[in-house]
Amino acid sequence: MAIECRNLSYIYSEGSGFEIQALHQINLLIPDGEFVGLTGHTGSGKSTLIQHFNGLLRATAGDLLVDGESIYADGYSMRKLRSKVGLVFQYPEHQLFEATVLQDVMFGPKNLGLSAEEQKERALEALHLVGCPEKSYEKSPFELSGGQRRRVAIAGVLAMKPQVLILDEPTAGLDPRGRYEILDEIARLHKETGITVILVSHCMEDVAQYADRMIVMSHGSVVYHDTPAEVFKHRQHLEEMGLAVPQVTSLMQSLAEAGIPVRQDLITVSGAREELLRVFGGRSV
Amino acid sequence: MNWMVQAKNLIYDYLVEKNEEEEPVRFRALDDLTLDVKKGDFIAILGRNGSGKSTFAKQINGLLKPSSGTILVNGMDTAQEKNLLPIRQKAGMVFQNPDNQIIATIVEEDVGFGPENLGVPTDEIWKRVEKSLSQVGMLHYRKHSPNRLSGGQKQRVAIAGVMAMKPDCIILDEPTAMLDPSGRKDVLDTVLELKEKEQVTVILITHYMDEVVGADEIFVMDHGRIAMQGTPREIFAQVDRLKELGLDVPQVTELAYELRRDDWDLPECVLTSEELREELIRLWQ
Repeated sequence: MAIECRNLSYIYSEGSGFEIQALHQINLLIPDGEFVGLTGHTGSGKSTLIQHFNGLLRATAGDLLVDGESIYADGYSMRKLRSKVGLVFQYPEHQLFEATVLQDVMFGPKNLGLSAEEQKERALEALHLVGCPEKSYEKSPFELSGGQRRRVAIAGVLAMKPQVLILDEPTAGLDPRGRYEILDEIARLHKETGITVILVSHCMEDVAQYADRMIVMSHGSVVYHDTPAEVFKHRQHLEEMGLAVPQVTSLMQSLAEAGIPVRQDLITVSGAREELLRVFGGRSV
Repeated sequence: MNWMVQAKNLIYDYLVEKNEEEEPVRFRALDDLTLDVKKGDFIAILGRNGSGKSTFAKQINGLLKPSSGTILVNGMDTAQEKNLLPIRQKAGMVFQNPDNQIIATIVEEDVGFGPENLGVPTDEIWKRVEKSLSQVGMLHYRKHSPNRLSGGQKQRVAIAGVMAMKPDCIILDEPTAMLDPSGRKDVLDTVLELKEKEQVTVILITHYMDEVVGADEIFVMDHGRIAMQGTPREIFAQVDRLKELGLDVPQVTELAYELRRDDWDLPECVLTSEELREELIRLWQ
């Protein structure tokens, strides 16, 4: 499902005298099936923007099109939109509440008005997708580890069968292995189901490794919207905006400045290694 | 006396209530942990989620008490009730979520809350507030409302609140997990400066490997025990062992490790971008 913003603006507390312009004339097209990284400093408008995508906030100006249809048109069903655009908030495991893992994941489909069998079928499928072990299904969510609880929370959103999955800092507070496991699951899910994934993250290494394209926001505007390799060429500008580039990208750029002819758009350890092997090839190192 | 913290054969069991019918289950979070922290050192504690890091942190200022074994903070046993107040003055904690630890509506009042509770005279409170806010670089914001600050600024206010208690030791439990890159850098720089200028002992718990390369000593926890202990260079040289323990190494450390396996003439452990840059320039020439 494609999402398009046309001159989208949002002002908090409009008309109250305490107005804050959170989004400023956003123009953006996220094509169907893309894996997009969304990043920006604290307060840059990322969370405000994603809350527009499933209609939790309504733009104060401009338009938002989902699959070519304006969600602000008369008669557009917000209910339908929310079943199609799944939003996983920060620390989603804090929202688990049912007695068992399975029941918790069934809660969404239940609200869609599905039959008991369908609810269960959807929940089992979603739990399988996030790699939750079967022996946990009848456990209380509170008996699971932090990483497992987070998967259950993500499964709760997947059980709604969204066509767009938005995750707000899904790896915050997880250890490195937990972080890679969750991101690998999301990448696999993206590949297998073809849904659009929007990953909101402060971690440039994660965005670099997983996203096809990335959006960089600052002060309510979109500053970059391109492939990670292109965006990370702008190291200095990103740093001025309170962001960073992956450590290997910054290394390669500093080598290039020192006159070693390496590419400057490399963003992963394996990419950097191959490039160094190529450029240093033949020298006795 | 040279030791800030001395933990000896520390054991801590949580009781997990399953449901009303069953007996609570015992879960061993700390398992015969022995660990000493020298005064004035910067110590980092790494370990996967559930390895016992936070449980240990809470033992240091007596929020939790050992099931068996002892822990001395500045020579005082946390098991003795009369020591708790002096210990909590000596060892201040900063937690992950800044929004959970700021209580006042004005920055300077928040920072003054700790010393006020200690019964410090008013004049002295204001002196301490001013000093600690300037130590964390937030004096300019003293009259501001905390909820208008960024995550990194809030954490610095929380650190100032701890500094106003004139602690000998500051324990930070994932203080940067929710921050953007510049917020992370500001918090870390602040902490390191306090260590240098005020000789405060720093105990940092984190999942970000690049934050601990400047530590005097690293402890890696696993299943409530110390799995590895050493200087950053000793620890990060063991890339495979760290990965086994669910952890990671900084990107440049991994890149150097890979290149060494390709028989490049590089030191056994590289910790920073600058270091690897120098080494690669040397090889190029």
